[in-house]
Order: sequence, then structure tokens, then C-alpha cells
Amino acid sequence: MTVSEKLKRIFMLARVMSKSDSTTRVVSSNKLFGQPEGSFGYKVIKAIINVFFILVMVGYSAVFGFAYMGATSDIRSFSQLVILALIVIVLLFGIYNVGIGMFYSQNLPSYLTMPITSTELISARILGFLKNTLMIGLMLIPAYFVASLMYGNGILWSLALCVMVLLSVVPIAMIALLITFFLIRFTPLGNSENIFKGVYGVVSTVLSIAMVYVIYSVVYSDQGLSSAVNVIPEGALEYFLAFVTPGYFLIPQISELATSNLGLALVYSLIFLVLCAIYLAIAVLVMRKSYLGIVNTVIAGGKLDDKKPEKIKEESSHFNLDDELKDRSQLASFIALDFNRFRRNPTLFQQFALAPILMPIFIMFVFYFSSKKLFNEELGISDYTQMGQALLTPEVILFASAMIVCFTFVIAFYVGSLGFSYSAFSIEGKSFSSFKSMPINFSTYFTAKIITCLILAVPVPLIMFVAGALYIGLSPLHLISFIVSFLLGSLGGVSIAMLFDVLMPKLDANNEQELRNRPLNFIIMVVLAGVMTFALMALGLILATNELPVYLILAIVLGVEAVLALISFVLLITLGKSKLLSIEI
Amino acid sequence: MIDIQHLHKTYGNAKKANDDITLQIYPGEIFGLLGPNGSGKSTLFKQMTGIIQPDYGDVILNGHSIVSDSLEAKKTFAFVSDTPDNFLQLKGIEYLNFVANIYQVPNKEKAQRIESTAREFGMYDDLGKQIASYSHGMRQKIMVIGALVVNPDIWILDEPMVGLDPRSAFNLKNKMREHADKDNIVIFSTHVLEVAEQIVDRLAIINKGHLVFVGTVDQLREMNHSDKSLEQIFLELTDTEGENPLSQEKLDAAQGV
Repeated sequence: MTVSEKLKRIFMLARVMSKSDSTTRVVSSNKLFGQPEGSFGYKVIKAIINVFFILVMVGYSAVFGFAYMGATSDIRSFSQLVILALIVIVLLFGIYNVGIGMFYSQNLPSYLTMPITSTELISARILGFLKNTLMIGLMLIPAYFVASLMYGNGILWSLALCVMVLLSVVPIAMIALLITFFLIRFTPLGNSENIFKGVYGVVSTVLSIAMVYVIYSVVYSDQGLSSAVNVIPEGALEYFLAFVTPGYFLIPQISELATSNLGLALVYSLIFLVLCAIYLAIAVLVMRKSYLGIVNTVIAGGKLDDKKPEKIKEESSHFNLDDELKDRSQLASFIALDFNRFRRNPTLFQQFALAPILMPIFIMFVFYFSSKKLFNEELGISDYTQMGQALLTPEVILFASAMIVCFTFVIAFYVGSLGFSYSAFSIEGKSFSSFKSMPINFSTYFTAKIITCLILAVPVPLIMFVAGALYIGLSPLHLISFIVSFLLGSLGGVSIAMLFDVLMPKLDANNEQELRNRPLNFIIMVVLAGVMTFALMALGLILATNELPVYLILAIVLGVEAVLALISFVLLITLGKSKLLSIEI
Repeated sequence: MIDIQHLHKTYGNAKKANDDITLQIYPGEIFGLLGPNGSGKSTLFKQMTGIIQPDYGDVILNGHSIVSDSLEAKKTFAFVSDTPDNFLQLKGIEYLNFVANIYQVPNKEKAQRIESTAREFGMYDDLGKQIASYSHGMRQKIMVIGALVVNPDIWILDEPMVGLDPRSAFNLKNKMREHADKDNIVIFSTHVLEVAEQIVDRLAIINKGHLVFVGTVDQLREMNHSDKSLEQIFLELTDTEGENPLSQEKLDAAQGV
């Protein structure tokens, strides 16, 4: 078989894997605005949605880059920020699927009966992962491209930098993948699929945070390429030696390249491309010998190493009936159902439960990171406190009250609408058919879903927010207003996102990724949140510029927000309920 | 009693899944629904259970309309669908607990019913495992056990024997008989004519969305020459492509109308 034939097989395998692998399998007809899948109308609508989605994403991304550079003009900090963001996203949402897919995919037994080598299987899996990674990377590329242009770099230069942004995740992903492999191969974790899936969710999260920490504190602290830039005039050997730093091999130093010159950027991209190919080859070589053996054992339900001390007990089917059986209301039963899903399906947990927790932390990190660069000095927590207190004069409070309360609502709306609520109904999949035959009150069902979404979306950002507010000495009146505003925004966001999920459900998702990748729902929520942002901020501005008492301003804003939240909730209960009854699966 | 009144369902492509189906099923009966693939059995069950809405017509279950009083109607029955791949992320015991809570089965009864039914079907030791790890037959069993734990007056079972091992199939048939003998109703669909012959009190044959026969097995033989096997009769009745069903008079006569 020639190399090109081999590559063809690997690409074909990667395509089939990405389409067919699943952990939750549901089969039903797929329609888009009533157009059956495969029809001309379906294809046209899908194409329009995809184009619109890309435009929205590119637009948002570009605006982000534009705003950052407009405020800081600091391409170096932005380079680091973009790479860190990309790595966090990929590690949190991508590597997990590869680990699980590589060893526990439902389709593995079928592949094993075919004349496919372990190298092909591993390569195809990694290829699929890289494709997804690049798709995620594309969300950040417009931001970086715009930032680089604004900094004054040319188009070719900026493109070379963007390529390196995309490549930056490859080494990290390969390290994470190898760690996964070693965990399965050499620890008792690999002896049980369920235990592995559960523990791996935590492991991959810790791994993500650890890697970001390492990159931030070690890689970005060494001089890396900046040494090379400085020694260029001193000769080739010094130049080469300056390149040889651990950071260089791990993460492309685009912050240095963005401020150096085009030639260096191009040479570096080529070198890093070769490095990535080497990393891929190493990953395949390390895993290929024992891969099939591991998979065979996993499929047979056996232990990977009989001599290995069994520190973690094999999953036990033992249970105590009295402990397991709990009398619950319908409301509590639905909430428990979703949380059981999260417990059993780490991918779901990661995408819908962990993300809402980590996102605010990440946003805080971005805020801290960018403000530090903005003021071009090391700021401590006490500096922020002083800044906050200096800003909170009575006049400023009067002006800012309305604006900040509105802003709080919008932030909470965003967080609420893009979390679990986004697919809270679609997650039922085919099981929804069973629900329809049961004596279920769908108002109770929706209420349970909203409570679940709020439990996931509210506590962490709210605690962070309250802690911050208390730290800067916000008055009780404002604190209560902000908390109420946050809760109302969350309720509104959750309700509206669920409503659109019910109106355009994805009950035939083949896997958790498909539940997440729903461009139309995403666009609607982003546009809706955008409109709400403008409307509420305009209201805040109008109120702030009128000389009204603070309590009256807060009362008006909170009243408007309460109405918005209530409308969202009522729409979900009424429209959503009638739609549920008409869904036929 | 189940009173199916002029049920009609047409799908988007104008294919009539059910065409004016009228049928009564009485307490104490095990009622079998037979028909080739795509004949409309599952659609009929889905309309009876509220999963899909009929274009027109209604189903009255113990006095409650599935169209206008669906919540009360749904309390009267438990349904086992033909695809058991549901709730895969739950453990067997969690699924049973969930279903029992939805139907508000008291805790004490719940524990006793789950234990006895699961033991009868040889599933008790597997209840602590995730449904996703079950074989097809085990998934089918857990869905059947779910219906039996709820134990309402009416059992509606779509292909319940598929995937069951002989002992479990035997247990289920006994359970169906016991349930019907307590003046309840069991309606189920099957492709296995021997099963139908063994346990049904009455049966209906459906083809291309039309009822082509309703009555007892003996009536079926009488109306179609008694020397033929049930299989031959079934093949003949369903070979008409639904264009020449039995006359309404014959159907009425068979139903005792």
C-alpha cells in the first residue's frame, strides 16, 4: 500500500469516526424548519445558518481583538492570552472526548473486526481531534488577526502568527493524550470504564489547570525567542542555542514573533510545523504497540494487568435497595435524573456542568490579566480594592447604579443562556418518547429543568460577584440589587435558551458534542443577548442621566428586569409546553 | 376499558399510518395486535399513549381521553416501547425508582415490587449497573419491569417478547395472564403468531393502517377456513396490501357490536 493510500484510509476512518462515534445513541428523523435531511431546502437552510454562524463568530472575535488592542495596544499580552484561552478550551472540551473515544467508543468492536492497524486507528482518532481543535481555534483567529494588523504587522506576517496560534495546542494535546494513555495502561483506573470516565473528568480538568499554570509561569517567564531576537547579530550558533529552550518546544512564542520580524515568524512557523508532526508521530509510536491489546481487554471487560494491585475496586453492582429507593416528587425526580446523567457521563458533566463554573473564573482571569497589562504594572488585590473604593463616590454610585445593575442582568443572562439550558431539553433524546407516555406535568418538568440550570449556572459566579462586592465595600442596597439582578438575569437567560431548545430540539444527537454544536440556537441566543444588552444599557443610561434617587433608579431597573425574566419564564411554560405536546419522535 | 374511536394519522408524505381505526378492548382481556412491519401497529400504540397526536379520533382509557385529559389517562396505563435504548445513563435501580416516583408508587410497595419482579426476571443482581452496560435483552427486561412495578390497570406493550430469553418470556406471559385475570387489560403487539395463539383472548390484524380482522383466534379460523394454519391466514390477510380488508359488518360481528 502506498503512503497516499494509507493516508486516504486514515482520513476516511477519521471521517467515519467523527460521524458515528457516540456515547449516547439516538436515532430519529432529522429535520430543519420542516425540511427533511438531505433535501435541497435542508441543505440551503443549513448553509445559511452555517454562514451566519461563522459571520457572527468572526464578528464577535474581531471586535474582541479590536477592543483589546484599542485599550492596551499590547500585542504581547494578547498573544499569550489567546494561546492560553485556546489551550484551556481544547483541554477542557476536546481532549476528554479523544481519551474516551480512543478507548471506550461504542464502535471499537466493529473496527477491530476489520483489517485496520492500530496506527491507522490512533492516527484517525488524533486527526479527528485536530480537526475539532482547528475549528475551535478558528473562533479566536479573527481576534488575533485583527490585533496583529492593528499592531502594524502585515497580512502575511499576521497569517503566519495565526497558523502558530492554531498549532500551539498540538504539543499540549499530545502530552495530555499520552498522559491519558499512561493512566489507562499503568494505573488501576483503566480496569473499569465507569471509574475511568468519572475520574478522568476530574483528571482532565486538573490537567488543564496545571498545564495553563505551567505555561503561564514557566514558559512565558523564560526569555525564549526574545533571546534569539537579541542574538541574531551575534552568529548562527548563538542564534540556534537561544532557540533551544523548553518553552520554545512546547508553545510557539508568538508574543515575541509578533514584535520581531516577518522572516523570523515564517521560519519559526515552519520549524514549529515540523515539531508538531514529530509530536504526532511520537504519540502514535508510543501508543500503537499496546493500543489494540488495551482495547481488546477493555471490550472484554477484563483487567489490563492482572498482577497490578487493585487499589481501586472494580465497579460493583452491589446495591442496597432501601438506600437506593427514595420517595421523590416529580420535580425532584427530574432534577435527580439530570444530576445522575452528569454523574455518569463525564462529557456531559464537563460541557454542561463544569463549563459554567470555570467560565466566570476564566473571565476573571482574563480581566485580571488584561487590566494588569492595561496599567502596565503589577496590580495586587489591594490595588483593585482601592480602585473600587475610589470609584464609588456618591455621585459615581448614582450614575453607575443603573448601568451596573443592567450590566449584571446581561452578564447573568449570557451565562444562563449558554450553559446547560442550551440543551436541557434535547438531552432527553429518544427517552422523551417515554416521557410522553407517562403522567408527567410538563410545567413541573420545565420548572425542574430551570432549577437544574440555575443550580449549575448561578452559585459560582454569584459567590465570586458577592465576594468582590463585599471586598470593595458595596452598600447593602446595591449588593441586594445586584444579587436580585443576577438572579433575574439567570432566570431570563435559562428560560429563553430552554424555550429555543424546545422549539428547535436536537433529539437525534449522536453524541454530546452534537448537543453543544448547534449554531442556530447559539446565534439566536447571542443576538438576543446583544439586543438585550443595548436595550438595558440604554435604559440604564437614561436613568443615570436623570437626577432620580438611587433607590428609585434601582427599583425601576429591577422592575424592568423582573418583567423580562417573567416574560421569558411564561413563554417557556406556555409556548414550550404546547410545542412539547406536538413533538413526534 | 380502552375505546379507540376513529383514529386517523397521516404523516408528512401523505402516507396514511392509521385510517379510521375503531376498536374496543374490555377488562379481563389480553389483546394481541398483529401486522407486518410498517403496518401501523407502533403508530397506533403511540397514539394510544399520547406520544403522537391523532389527526382526528380519540382514545378513551378507563374513561379518560388521551387527547383532552391526557394526564389522567396516562395514569391508567404503563407503556413499554419497541426500542428499549432509553435512559442509558441511569442505573437499572435508578430507572425503576424514577418511573415509580413519576407514577407515585409508595416507597414500601415500590421496594417490594421491584425486588420481586426483578428477581423473577433474573435482573435483581444487575440493578446496580448502568443501563448502557446491559445487553439488548436486559434493556428490554428493565423496561418491562418498569411497567410491572408501576402496575396500572392497563399494560400496553409494543413487541415485549423481543430479546427476552425463554424463561423471561414465559414469566412475562404468566404475568400478563395474571394481570388480565384481575379484570385488567393487557394489549401487546407481536410478530410471533405462536405467542398470539397461546395467550390472547382476542386479536386484531392490522395492515397498511387498516384493521383487517378483530376477534378471537377461533373466529379467525372460522372466517378463513379452519383447515389453514394461523400463519397461512395471516399471510393471506396481510397480502391484500390493505386494499381489501374485511367488511365493516364482519369486523362488527367479530367484535360483538
